[in-house]
Amino acid sequence: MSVNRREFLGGTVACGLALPPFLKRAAAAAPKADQPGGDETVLVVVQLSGGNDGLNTVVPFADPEYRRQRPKLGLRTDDLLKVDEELGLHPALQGFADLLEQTRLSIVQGVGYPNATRSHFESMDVWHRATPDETEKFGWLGRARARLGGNGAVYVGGNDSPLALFNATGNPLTVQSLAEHQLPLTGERGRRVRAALDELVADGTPGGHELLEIARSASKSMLDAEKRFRRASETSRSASAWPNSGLAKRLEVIAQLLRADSPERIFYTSLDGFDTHSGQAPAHERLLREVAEAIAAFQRDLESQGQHRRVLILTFSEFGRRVKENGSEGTDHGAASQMFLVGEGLRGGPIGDHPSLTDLDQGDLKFHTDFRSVYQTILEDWLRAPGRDVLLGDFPKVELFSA
Amino acid sequence: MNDEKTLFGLDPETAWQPLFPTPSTWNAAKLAHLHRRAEFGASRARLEETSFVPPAELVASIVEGREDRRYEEDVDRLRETALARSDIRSLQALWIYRMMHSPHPLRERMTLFWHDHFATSHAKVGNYRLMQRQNELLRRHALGHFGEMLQEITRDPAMLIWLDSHTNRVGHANENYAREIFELFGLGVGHYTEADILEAARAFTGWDVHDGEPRFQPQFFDAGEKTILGRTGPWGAGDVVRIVLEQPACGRFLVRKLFAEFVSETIEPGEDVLEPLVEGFRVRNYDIAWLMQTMLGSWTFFSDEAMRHRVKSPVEFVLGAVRELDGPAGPLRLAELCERMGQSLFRPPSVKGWDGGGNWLNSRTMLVRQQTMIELTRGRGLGQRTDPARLVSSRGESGDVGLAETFLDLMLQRPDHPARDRIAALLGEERRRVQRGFASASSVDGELARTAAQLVAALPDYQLA
Repeated sequence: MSVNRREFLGGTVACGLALPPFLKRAAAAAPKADQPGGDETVLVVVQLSGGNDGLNTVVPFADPEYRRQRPKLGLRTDDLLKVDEELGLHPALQGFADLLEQTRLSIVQGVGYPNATRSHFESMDVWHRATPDETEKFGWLGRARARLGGNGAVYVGGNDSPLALFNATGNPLTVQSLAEHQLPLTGERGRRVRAALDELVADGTPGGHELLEIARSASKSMLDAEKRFRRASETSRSASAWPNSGLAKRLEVIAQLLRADSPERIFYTSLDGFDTHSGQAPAHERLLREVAEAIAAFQRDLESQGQHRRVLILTFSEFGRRVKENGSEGTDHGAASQMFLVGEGLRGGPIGDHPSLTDLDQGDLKFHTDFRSVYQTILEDWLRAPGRDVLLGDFPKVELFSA
Repeated sequence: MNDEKTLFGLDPETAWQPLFPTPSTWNAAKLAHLHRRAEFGASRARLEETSFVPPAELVASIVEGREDRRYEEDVDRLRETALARSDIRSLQALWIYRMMHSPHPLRERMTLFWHDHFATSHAKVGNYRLMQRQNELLRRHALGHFGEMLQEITRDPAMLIWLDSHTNRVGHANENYAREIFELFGLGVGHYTEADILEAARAFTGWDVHDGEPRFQPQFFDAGEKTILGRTGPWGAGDVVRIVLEQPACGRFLVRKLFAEFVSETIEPGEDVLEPLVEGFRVRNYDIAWLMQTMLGSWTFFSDEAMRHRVKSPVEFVLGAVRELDGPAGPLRLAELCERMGQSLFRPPSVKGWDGGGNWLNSRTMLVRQQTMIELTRGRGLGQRTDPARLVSSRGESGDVGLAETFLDLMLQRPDHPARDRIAALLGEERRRVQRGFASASSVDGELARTAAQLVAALPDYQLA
């Protein structure tokens, strides 16, 4: 049955029509006019590892101090992608500029935390545990996923599953490729074996007891899911063009999982390389381009699936970088920076002022928004998880959603 | 099919009497059932060697176990290697190795049960040696007297850390252990009050962990009078344990839990049916070996409401397959697969342990189970030494129906399973396809054997123990 997804999601869903499960989910999850979030919403976290230079990502070009502190690294105003009269995006962020125009991108400025550390490991640890409770061993998303039912999260990457997702059960599902979601049955034999498997679990055994039925039904739904994954990996390649970068490949896996109606609500991946102590300009340009293009492609794929309303993307880095450039045409570890949000139902544009370039904390930008406030807002307003229980503390929320 | 969830018509007088073997009461299916529940399954050779042993004698020998000096030396060596590696996978692999090779597999099976019962997670404890130490404690007492196990685990360093006992001090009580010893370890909900918990928390004060050993510091102990479950005195940790053991609820709670784990997951037996076990357990000072021997040899254990009325946990699933396919398989990989099936040894999701039962089976975990079976029956890699092809070449099974029956018998003890003909038909199609290529007769049979094993493993029945 051919289905125009936009018709179904845009208009009322007629009773009795058999919707594929993920469309039902998407329809149920679509934020309503008066309330963001829901019970089937999804959060995708993209970690920028190394300390992204926020000051050259979203540039306060109108402030003369910017060029004074960055004679070599300062970006030319004409090259920037204007956000408003004071801020411009790095030229490599065309993908973000487009999203901004569609009110699908928010920039939370001046984000950090008190007594910030400039050590990669320690600072990343703070962002991952996200609690003032110093004895806590688990990550914020680990605590969240324990409350969202089942294992609830997927990490797309290698053996470096982040602390953020860690809880008493260990690490969540780690996926490197979609092949892991398929039975290793290929070719003619595979087709035949699959057909046989379908038959063997199709009917219940007369007189079979409840455990037998649970086993049969789980097998059946596994085979159905497996078909969906195979179809998803075939469809998504044609549905939208993906750039050929590492981050794009990882986001593509997430898009395929969503297309195959994967039940998890938290997805996490990362891009490394932001620790630009020297020769920053070309590296930063390349990295930002990778981020914006991958996220833009991801957003396009979500739209083609009709799932764009239930997915929120969040980027963060463990710290920003110093205002004053160093002697190697690079920058050193700093403090406050920005977080990007991409999705529907957002307020869009910059949230909060850009930190002052003169009123600094030992040469670093001062933060005004604790990152845990952003987390608490997302937990409560988007995921409908108890923010205080997850963060083991209470943080004033930020107005992220246009509700 | 009787809908009532009670052992309808079961007489407490006879329910726990040993099954008397006759051609109509004892058969291959019941033998395999005993091996599955008590020893993670059995190879065909083991089934054959035990098929002429009277069940009562067999149960006794399963409970008694054997000793093997060389096995113990191997384990000692592997333990040091595992601890030196400092990762949880190595500890998991060590335990899976022991489950596979121990001369006393019931002890390992019971250790697994107690690990779930006293569920402690390395994710919080954060110390491999302490987790391994707790594992050895559980193994030592697995078939011993429950009271001794409860006393020791109350002072076990991993447990002290897990339930915050090491922060429980006079004036700043932490109720965590007090609550769990009543609710989860000893009595069950409804047999104590919140006041009992508060008082017991005071009795548990003063303990912490120092240099990997439990340490009692009197200056942090609340030495005042406490009233716990009606008993008043200047109680300490050992006294609370003693008071718990004196409660009638204790025996009932444990017996019911062991029934659910080892006899049937679908039946809720009445108190009267369990009472003979409870009484026998209690007068023998909570002798776990006696309880297991009585339960595993009984009519009830071999009844229709018990056989195949348990969902295999991931560990039981992989070990059962490995035994049936008659070969060892890499414990590290098996440990990883168990984790992906939802059972990460040493890392239960909470102090309540694993939910078990139907909760083991969802579309994600079922996929891993099937991938595991394909990997194990592939004939190479992990499946190299468990290759189904080896099981048929010696026997000369011929024909597609014969092959289907062989594996249905080996893995389900049901050579006449309703799915047999469909499986045989598929094997026939496979045979024609493979024979078109350049392949010897024995390699064709080998390929078909692998396919047969994979298909039988996909049957819903195979998920049940």
